[in-house]
Amino acid sequence: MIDYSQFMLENGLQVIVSTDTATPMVALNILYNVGAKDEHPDKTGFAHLFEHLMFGGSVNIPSYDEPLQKAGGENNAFTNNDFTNYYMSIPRQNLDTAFWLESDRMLDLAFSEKSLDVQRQVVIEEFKQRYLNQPYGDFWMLMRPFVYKAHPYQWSTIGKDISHIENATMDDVRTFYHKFYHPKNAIVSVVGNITEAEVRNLCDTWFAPISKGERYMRNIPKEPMQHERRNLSVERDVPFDMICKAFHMCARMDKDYYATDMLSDILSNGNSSRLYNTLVKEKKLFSEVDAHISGDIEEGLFIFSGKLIKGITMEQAEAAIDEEIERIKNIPIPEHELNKIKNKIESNMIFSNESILNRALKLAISTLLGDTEMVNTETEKYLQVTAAEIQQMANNILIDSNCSALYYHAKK
Amino acid sequence: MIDRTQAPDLHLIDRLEIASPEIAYLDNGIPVYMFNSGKLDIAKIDFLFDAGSRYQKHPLTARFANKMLSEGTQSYSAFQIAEHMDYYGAYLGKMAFKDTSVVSISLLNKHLEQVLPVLAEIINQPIFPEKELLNLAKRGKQAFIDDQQKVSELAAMHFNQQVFGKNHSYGKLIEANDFDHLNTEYLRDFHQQYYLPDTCKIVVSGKLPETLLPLLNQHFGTNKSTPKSNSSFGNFSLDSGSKKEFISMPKSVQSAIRIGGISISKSHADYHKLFILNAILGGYFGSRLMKNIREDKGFTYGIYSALVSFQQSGMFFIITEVGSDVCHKAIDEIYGELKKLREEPVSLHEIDLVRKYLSGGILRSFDGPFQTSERFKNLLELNIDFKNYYANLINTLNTITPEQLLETAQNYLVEDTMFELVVGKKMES
Repeated sequence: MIDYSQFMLENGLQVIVSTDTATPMVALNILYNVGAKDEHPDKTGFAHLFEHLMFGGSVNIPSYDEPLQKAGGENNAFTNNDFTNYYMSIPRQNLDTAFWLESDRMLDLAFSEKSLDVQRQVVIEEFKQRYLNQPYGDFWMLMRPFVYKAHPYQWSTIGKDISHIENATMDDVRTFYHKFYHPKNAIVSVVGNITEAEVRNLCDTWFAPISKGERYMRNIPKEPMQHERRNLSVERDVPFDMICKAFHMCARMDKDYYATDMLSDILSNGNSSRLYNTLVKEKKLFSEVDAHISGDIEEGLFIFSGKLIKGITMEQAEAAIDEEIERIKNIPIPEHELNKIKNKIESNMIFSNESILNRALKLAISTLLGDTEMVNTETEKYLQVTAAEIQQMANNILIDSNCSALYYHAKK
Repeated sequence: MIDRTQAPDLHLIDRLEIASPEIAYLDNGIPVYMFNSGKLDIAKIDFLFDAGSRYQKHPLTARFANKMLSEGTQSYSAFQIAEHMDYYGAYLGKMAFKDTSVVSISLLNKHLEQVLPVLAEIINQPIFPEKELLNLAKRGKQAFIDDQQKVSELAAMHFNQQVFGKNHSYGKLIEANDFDHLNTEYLRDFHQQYYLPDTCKIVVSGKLPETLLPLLNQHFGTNKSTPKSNSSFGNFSLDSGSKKEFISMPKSVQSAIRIGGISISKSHADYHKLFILNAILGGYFGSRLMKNIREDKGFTYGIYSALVSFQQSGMFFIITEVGSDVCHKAIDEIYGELKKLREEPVSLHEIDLVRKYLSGGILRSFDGPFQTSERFKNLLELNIDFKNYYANLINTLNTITPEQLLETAQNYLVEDTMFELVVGKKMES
C-alpha cells in the first residue's frame, strides 16, 4: 500500500507526493509525456537524443550535474517508446537544489552547440555499443518495422537510422523542446522523507512560475489489424540460431491486459514455468527461451523468443513452441498453477515497493495512465483473473494470422 | 521573483548512523548477522560460503557446484524445487565468486516456514544429477560462446589472466571446452569440502519476525562440519602476461579498452584515499575520465574506473568501449589523466565536490535493511570490520588533502605497473 496525495499547479503540472520517514533520502521523478512514438518518421531517435541534451545545461544553470553532485544527489534518465523519465535521489535537506535544477530545465535549455555536437557523437557510440557491436544486437531494429506497418512503434528509441541523429540540427532540437517540455506535458512525483506541505512550497517557488505550454494533442496512426502470417529470415554473423514469434496484443489500460500478462507468466515466469521445463530441460531444444509482453501503453506485443541448441532446426524449435501454444489454448490451466502465478505477482509487487525510486516511478507512470490509484489496486486486478480468461487470451492472440515470425540464422 | 542563477544553499546532510547487526549463533556455530528494520513484511537471507573459484581444482567447479544446488536433492527434483519456490513467490539467488559462493533467498515473511526446509535441502543435501549437469553445461557453453562475440566480455575475461597469470587463482581463464569436462564427482566433492557449517556465515535483513532465528536453527543449525581433507586454498603466485596485449575482432565497430593492474584491497590502510582518488578519476558521472572522454570528446558512451577487492589481492582498472577509429586517441587521453593525477594536485574545489557527492552516496547505500546488508556482506567476505571501515572512510573523506591525493596517485597509479588490453579492430598506428 502506497499512501500519497496529489495536486495540480495552475500551469497544468501534476504533482504526486508520498511521505516515508524511514529514509534519509528523497526520490524526485519527472516524467515527460513524450517518447519515440511522438517523433516524425524522418527525424527518429530525437526523444532519446533529447534526453542526453537535457544534461547539457539550462537557461540559468550552465552545468546540471555538478550542483547535483555537490548536493549529494545521484540521477539518471531513460527514454522508451512511450515516455521520457528523469529520476534522482538526494539527501532530504537538499531537495530544494533538485527542484531548482529540474525547474530550470523545464523553463528553458541553454541549447549549446558544443553539447549538441558531443551528445550526437555519444549517442552514435551508444548505438554502436548496443545495436551494432553485440551478437543479436540488431534484433529489435529488424523486428519493429516487421511487426508494425503504420504505428510509430516501428522504430526503436535509438532511431530508425543513425543518419537521423547525425543530421539533427539545433532548430530541430528547439522545436522538439518547445513542443514537449513544459508543465502541461510533465508529471512530478516525490517520495521520501518530506511532507506534502513542503513539496507544495517547493513547487510554488520553482515550478509554478513556468508558463504553461501548448497542450500536445497526440495523433498517432493506429496499427491496422494483421490478417496474414508474416515470415522474415535473416542471416547474421552470430554463433547460434534464434527464433522469434510476435503477436499483436491489447493496450496497457485494456481490461484484457492482466490476463494477457498472466498468460506470459504461465508460459515463462520462473524456473518452474512451462517453456523452461518443456523446451529447455525436457526436450533440450533451446539454450534459453522466453515469452513476455512488451508492456507498451498502446497496443503492444506478445513475444516468444529463443536461442536454439546447436544442431536443432528452426522447424523443430517452432513446432515445439507451437505445441505449447496449442496446449494452453486447449487444456484448462490447473488451479495450483494459477495460484502459483498469483503468489508470484503478489510477492513481486511487494518487493518492487521497497525502493523510493521505484515507488516514485510507479506513481508517475500510473498518473500518466490516468489512474494514480493503480499503484494500489493492480495486485487485486491480477488476483481476480480466472484460468478461463487466461486461456481465452491465448485463443484470441496466439493465432497464426496474428503472428510475425523472425528466423535469425547463424552464418554457416 | 526568484533568482534562478543562484543555487539554493546546501545543507549538512544527516550524519550516517551505521547500524551494527545483531549477532547470534546457531547450535553448530554458524554466525547469523541480523539487520532488522523496514516496514514491509519481507526478508532476505544470504548464506556465504568460503567456496569460491579459488578453491577449485578443475575449471568451473565452484560455479557449477553453486548453480546445481537447486537441480535436485535427496527428496526433491529440480522441478519440484523450482515449483516450490515459485509457488511461494520466493526468489532464489545463487552466485559463485572468486573467494566466496553465495545462496540467497528473498521472500515474504509469511512463507518462511514453507520455504526454509526446502532451502536447507538445497544447501545441505544436493545430489548433482548427471542429466541436469549435461543440460546446464551445454547451455552454459553456448552462452559462453555468445559472450566471446562481445568485445567487452572478451576484455573482461582476458584482462584478469593478463594481470595475474594463467595459473593464478584470480587469473585463470575459462575456455569453451572446460564445459565439456565437468563431471558430477567434482561437484559432489567440492560441495562436501566447502559447503560446511564452519565455512558458512548467514546475513539476514528485512522486517524480521521472532520466529526467524529458531527456524534458521532448526534447519541450518544441526549438521556438523566433517573435517576437511586435501583442501586447496588456491595458487597465488604471479605469472603476469605482457604489459600490452591486443585481441583482434576485425568486424567490430568499437574497441574495448582495459587499463590497470594489481592494487591494494579494502583491508589496506591507504585504501580509502585511493577510493576517493578513483572517484575523481573515473568513479562517477562527473569524473575526469567521463568529462574528458565522453562529455568533451564524444569518444564513448561510457568510461569508468574501478577498484576490486579479493581476499588475497586487489585490482584497479579503467574500462571503456570506444569507436575503433579513436581508440589510440582515447588511450592517450587515459594515460594523460593518470599522469595529471600524479603530477598536479587536485583542487580544493574538486575535492569538495567529490566529498559531497560521495557522502550522499554513502547515505544512499545505507538506505534500508537490504542496502545495509549488501554493504555489510561485501566486507564480511573480506573479513573486514564493518563499523571501523565506514568510520575510517567517512573520516578520510572529511580530512583528505590535495597532497595526500597526489602521494596516493604517485604510489598507486603508476603507469609502469599497469597492463593494457585492447579488443577490437586492428588500429592504424
